[in-house]
Amino acid sequence: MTNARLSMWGEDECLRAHQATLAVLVDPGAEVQNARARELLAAAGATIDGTRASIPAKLVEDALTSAPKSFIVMSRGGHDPLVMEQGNTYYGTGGDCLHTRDLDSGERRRARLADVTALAVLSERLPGIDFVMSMGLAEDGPTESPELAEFTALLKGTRKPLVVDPVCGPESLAAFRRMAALAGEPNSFMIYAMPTSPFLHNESALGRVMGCAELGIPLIYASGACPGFTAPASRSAMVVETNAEVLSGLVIHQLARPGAPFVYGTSAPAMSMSTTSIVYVAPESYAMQQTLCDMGRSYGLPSWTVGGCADSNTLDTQWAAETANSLIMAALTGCTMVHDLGYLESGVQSSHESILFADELVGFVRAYLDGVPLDDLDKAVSEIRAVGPGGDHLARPHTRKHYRDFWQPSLVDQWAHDHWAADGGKTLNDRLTAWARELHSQPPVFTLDPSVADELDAIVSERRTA
Amino acid sequence: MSEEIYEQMAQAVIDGEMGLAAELAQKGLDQGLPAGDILDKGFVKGIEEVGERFGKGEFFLPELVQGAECMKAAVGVLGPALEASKEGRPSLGTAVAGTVAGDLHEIGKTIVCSMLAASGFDVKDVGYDISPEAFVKEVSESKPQLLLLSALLTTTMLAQRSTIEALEKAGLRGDVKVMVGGAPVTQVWADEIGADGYAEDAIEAVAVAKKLVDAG
Repeated sequence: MTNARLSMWGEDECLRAHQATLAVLVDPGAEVQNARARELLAAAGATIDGTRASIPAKLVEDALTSAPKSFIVMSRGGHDPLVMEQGNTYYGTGGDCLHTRDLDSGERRRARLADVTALAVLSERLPGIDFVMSMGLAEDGPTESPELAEFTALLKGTRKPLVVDPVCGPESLAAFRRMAALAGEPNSFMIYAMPTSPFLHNESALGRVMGCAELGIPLIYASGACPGFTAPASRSAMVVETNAEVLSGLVIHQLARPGAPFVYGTSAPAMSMSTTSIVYVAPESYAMQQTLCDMGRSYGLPSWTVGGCADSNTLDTQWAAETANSLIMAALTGCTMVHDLGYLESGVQSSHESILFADELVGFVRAYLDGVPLDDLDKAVSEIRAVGPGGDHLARPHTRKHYRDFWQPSLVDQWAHDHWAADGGKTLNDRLTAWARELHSQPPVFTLDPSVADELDAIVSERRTA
Repeated sequence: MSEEIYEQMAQAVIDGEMGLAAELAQKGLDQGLPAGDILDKGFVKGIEEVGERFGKGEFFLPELVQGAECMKAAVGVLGPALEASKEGRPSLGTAVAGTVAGDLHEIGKTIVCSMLAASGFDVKDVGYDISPEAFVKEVSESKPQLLLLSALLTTTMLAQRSTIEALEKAGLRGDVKVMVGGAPVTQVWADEIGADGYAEDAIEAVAVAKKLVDAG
């Protein structure tokens, strides 16, 4: 794994932001809309006034101490587990796109359960995708409790670790565990939840926070505070508010069960004040995400951020630039998990092509972040001497042994013009669509045992009729 | 003389100066200007300008929301005088807006309220986590032309349906046009639950609201 990364904040800056965070957790504190969470907080020494909790520094420090600095999330076979700790970076798709770009027609249409599975099947093949989310709010899913149907659609498509971000009650958490176990591995998924900014942990989010802690399901808790809307229009205030929301969630999580696995979620979306749409790829957002990841590193917690995504409405030049920029910026944070790869339209639209492109870029970024190791320096010098001035290295065994260490694109074009023109003068988008269709026509690399699929479907219909 | 103060009133709305807007409203009344004129010749000109500049992309949401706050401040001062003189401000229509039961997200709804207010609607924002029964009560009491139901979550979208059903049960469905909106809401959903209007964003919401009021 790679070590190259960027830091905007050193220990001093992180400490100052941490102290400001502790101050706002005392005053104004956080709204905690769950009686049990308030009882846990009160018993641990927080001051409770109605639903408001003023959280003293000691509780935050205790939670930071008890939260594990490393834990493992398994795949269901065929892939390495995620070793969730600082120093590792994993990439995955995003959740809950309303629309998808139809691979056959190129049209934007509502996402269906079959799309959730098809995008998971694609992700199963791609070396740059380490974890998978339900990339569709399925139009044909059940209106009530759609989460189990979407989870089933994912389990049918991929064995990679899953991240599920349902708005669901705690009762669904046990169902997820049971379904993952049926499909081969109970510890193969994580749950995502978020507070309502500013500083409000609602009943539904807290149900998942405490439920995950009790069941030992890894929880990703991330704030969606937005400058000028749900947070002050100030970068430092945004970082402090985001940090305070996540850490107050961590306090409740660790009180519910000390040592339960927790991921420090960072995201700092912007909202366009002229169009009112959420913006994923804004320069300030990535600066704030970088400093939040610096904070996460100072806490030693595994962390989570956003990248490899686009605000563009279609597969155009803007999309390619945003996807590449956001992926490299996210990778540079050194964050443990980077999600939302392949998003178009600020998370409203998914596509096969955008996931393929993001996967290609992950290869590029990983090769870049490998940096220039010096552990083979002696060998390097002897190779320089072996050929000397004026020769070439093509025939050297060293070259044959190592040239494949260099990144090889599969979809980015590097041919000379005439070769490219003779091959039809195809654009990147042409190649992405053609390759996505080709992959789609091949048999999937993994198929869920039909009897298991039936059992999963039965659990979904049980819930529907319950 | 009065022209000058009207201009200052409009400017206060454009600048988002809430305190000044209230002060100017009082000053106008003290000078004996008719409350209806203060509103129409002064403040409304300001909010129209704000709406226009927003449409052109010169103004952003904070200007729009603060312009609407200035209108509220001015109307707060003018209220009793407007009532006494029975001069109503010519309004495009009346609307009640809220976020549905179980949903605590109200920024989108607040933006839509500001946009509607800035466009000349009389809007009552009833807040968030509003039960179907509370919406029914609001409709029967305020008798708005439009009812706007906001939901951010796929799970709370369902309360848009139950609110419409509650209106039907109370026999009020025919009295009000219902608009639905929010991130997961689509035209298909709006049609499915029998809403009269749907808009993808706040700007479109104004156009839809105007159309529905005209049609009504």
